[in-house]
Parts: sequence; structure tokens; C-alpha cells
Amino acid sequence: MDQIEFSEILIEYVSGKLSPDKQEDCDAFLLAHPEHLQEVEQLKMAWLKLDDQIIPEPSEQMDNRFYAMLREESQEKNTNKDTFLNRLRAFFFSDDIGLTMRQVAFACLLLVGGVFLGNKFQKSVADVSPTLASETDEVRSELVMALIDQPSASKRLQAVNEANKLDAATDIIIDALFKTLHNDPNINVRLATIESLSKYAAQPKVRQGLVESINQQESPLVQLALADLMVTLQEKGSIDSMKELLEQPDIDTTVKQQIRSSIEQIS
Amino acid sequence: MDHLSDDALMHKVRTGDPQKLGLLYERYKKRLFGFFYQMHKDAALAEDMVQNVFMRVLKHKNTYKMENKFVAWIFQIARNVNYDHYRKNNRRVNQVELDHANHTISGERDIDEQLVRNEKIDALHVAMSQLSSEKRELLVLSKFKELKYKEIGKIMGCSEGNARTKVHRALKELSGIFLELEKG
Repeated sequence: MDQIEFSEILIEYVSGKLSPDKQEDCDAFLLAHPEHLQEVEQLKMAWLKLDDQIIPEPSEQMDNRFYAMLREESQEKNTNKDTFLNRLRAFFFSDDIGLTMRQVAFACLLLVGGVFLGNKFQKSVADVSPTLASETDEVRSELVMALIDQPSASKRLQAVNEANKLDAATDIIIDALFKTLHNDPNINVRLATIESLSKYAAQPKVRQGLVESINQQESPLVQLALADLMVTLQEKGSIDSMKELLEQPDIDTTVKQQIRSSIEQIS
Repeated sequence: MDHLSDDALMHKVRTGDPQKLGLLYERYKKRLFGFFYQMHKDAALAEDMVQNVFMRVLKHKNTYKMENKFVAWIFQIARNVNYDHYRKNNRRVNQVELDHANHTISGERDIDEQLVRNEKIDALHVAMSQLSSEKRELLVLSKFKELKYKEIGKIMGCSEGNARTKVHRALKELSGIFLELEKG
């Protein structure tokens, strides 16, 4: 390394942004050219002094204002809700039809809805009009709620996969997904639920729920999936939950290593 | 999960799903707040400016290009918000505002330690206020571990090499100011 090269990367050396190899080269250069030591030490000292700054935490108000702005923005995009679903609801819950008729009608809705959604909605919802997209979401939500408590694991998996296709999930859907994550006996359903919930991780309630789920899970695969998600989200709030998980006596060794790595990647 | 990358989320915002901006907000709010706080030492103002940044992200979402890194783009917006603030308020960029410095008396038993810490913070405030706004921005940005000099160059509108040189000069100037303060 010559002086020109050293000068070019000096600031990265001082700020610790060099690779370990380059760092060593610079150390060697300084050893051979001690006349540069004083400048380097002064720069390092100034760099470290920048850390003396105490930065307070932003207030809750900042979050409230942002989310209020986002809600306004979303409301501007929504058109008036079409009355299709209201007409559907009025039909099913009308006092003029008997219980048997209602059951038959609902079963037909599930059949038609499932076929319709499976065959006709392969293209992205962004390609259809906003009104139709909104109707599709509402039909899909009804389908999710109808399937998510079914005795068959494949039906519950279908429910979770349908939830993944929603443009926006209601609180009821989110709550149902969390109930599935915490209680479903099938690991594949729980793993699919994490994938589905990750789509709504922009919502603070969903992030918080995912963090709280970490040390409620016993399956190593589910624990790992949640830890990976926390790394992707860079969710610092999950560090305490992951540390609590590490304290559990029966934790799988592989999971333990991976959780430690996840904590490092987030810190 | 590629659909959660900054680019993927911003693409969703651009194509009619503003809700995805919430996740980008959660990822960047603290860094942006920290940036503005270090520039102005005013927490309320910093919060206003963060809000302003995200309003501009929504307003100018169609100018985001997938080949740019989101972090560089959002900090370019932050710099513009900062510059507009200075222009609007016609503030001298070297004005010292120790009143805005947040020194909290913590629960530390050793008051002397707290006093020494406060002195260090004051010295930093004084030294930073003597730098130009651009140099302060450069030093604050270079402190973010995830920002390489290539991104800093994009944010500042210069080449990577130029960004390195500018940070070097800013740090050298800061170092000189500290030495002067110590002598004083």
C-alpha cells in the first residue's frame, strides 16, 4: 500500500468501514509510516466524539401523525363500497328464508366462491377495477372465515393461503390468523400463517403480535420462521422475546444457534 | 422474503398500496429522526421533519426508480426537507442552540460523571455548530453503518470518491475545532 492509496481509504479506516484485510493493510502501513499516526489518532478521536451525542426517542405523537396521514391517503383511494356484499348479507340473514335454506345457500356460496377465486382470479388484482378488487377481497375474507376453523388441515391451509391474497386484511382476519398461529395443531398451517401475517407486518398490532408469538411456539421450525421474519423486519422489539426463548431448557440446539445469530443481525 | 425488501415495498406504494409505507416508516423513522435531531437539536422539529419526509415520499412516489437504493433516495428527500427548512426560516447555519440540547439528569449516582458527560456533549454541540450544514450532514450520514460512501455520494449528489474526500475534510475540520476548544 502506498501513501496515495492510504489517503484514499483513510476515512474508511477511521470510520471502521473497511474489510478486515484492508484494515490490516492500513495497520501495516501505519507501522511502517508512523508520521501519519498523529493525524489518524486525531481523526479517530473526532470520530469517536461524534458518539457523545445523546439522541432522544421520538414521541408517540410522531407515529400517531404518520398513521393518521396514511389513513387519509388510503381513504382517498377507496371508492364507495359497492352494495354487492350488503345485498349478499341481506339475502343470507333475511328473516324470510329458513335455516335449511340459509345453510344450502351458504354451501353454494363456498362452492362457487372457491371455484370462482381459483379459476378466474389468477391475474393480479391490480389489473381489475378498484370496485371489483374490493368485492373480491370481501368474498375472499368470507371464504377465509368459513374455512379457517374446519377440521381438515388442508381446508385450514387453504384459508390461510386465501388470506395471503387479500389486498387488505380486516382486524377480524388478523385475529383469526393469530388464533391459528397459536392454536393450530398442524405445523404447515402455522408456517403458512406466519407467511400470511408477514404481509401485514406494516401494522404495529401485527408486528407486536408476531413478537409475542415467538416464545409461545414449541415447534423448532416455527420458532426459526419467526426469528427469520424478525431479522427481515429488523424488529428490535423482538430481541427480548428471543432472549427469553434462549432461556428455555428444552430448546433445540440448532434453534439456539440460529436465534443467537438472529439477535446479532438485529442489534 | 423478497416481498418485504425496501424496493418491493416501495413498488407496492407506487402501484396503489400506500399501506406498505407503514413498514418503511417503521424501518427508517429512527434514523431520520436521529438525522434531523443531530442537525437541529430540536426533537419536536425533528418529528415534524420526519413527517414531512414521508409526505414527500407519497407525493413523489412515482419518481422512485427501482435501480436506486431506497435508503439513498429517502435521505435525499431528508436533505431537501432540511434545506427547505433553512431557507424558510432564514437561519444561519452556524448558530449555536445549546438551549435545545437535551441533557437529562439520569439516575447516575456520580454527579461528576454526569457533569463530565454534559461537558462532552456541549463541546460536541459547539464544535458541530461551527461546521457548515453540508459538513454536518456528511458526518451524520457517515455515522450510519448501513450507508456506504457510494450511497452517501448519491445522497449528496457527488461521486463516491468525492464523498470520501468531503467526509475526510469535515472530520479533519471537526478535529481541529476540538483541539482549539481544548486549548481555550
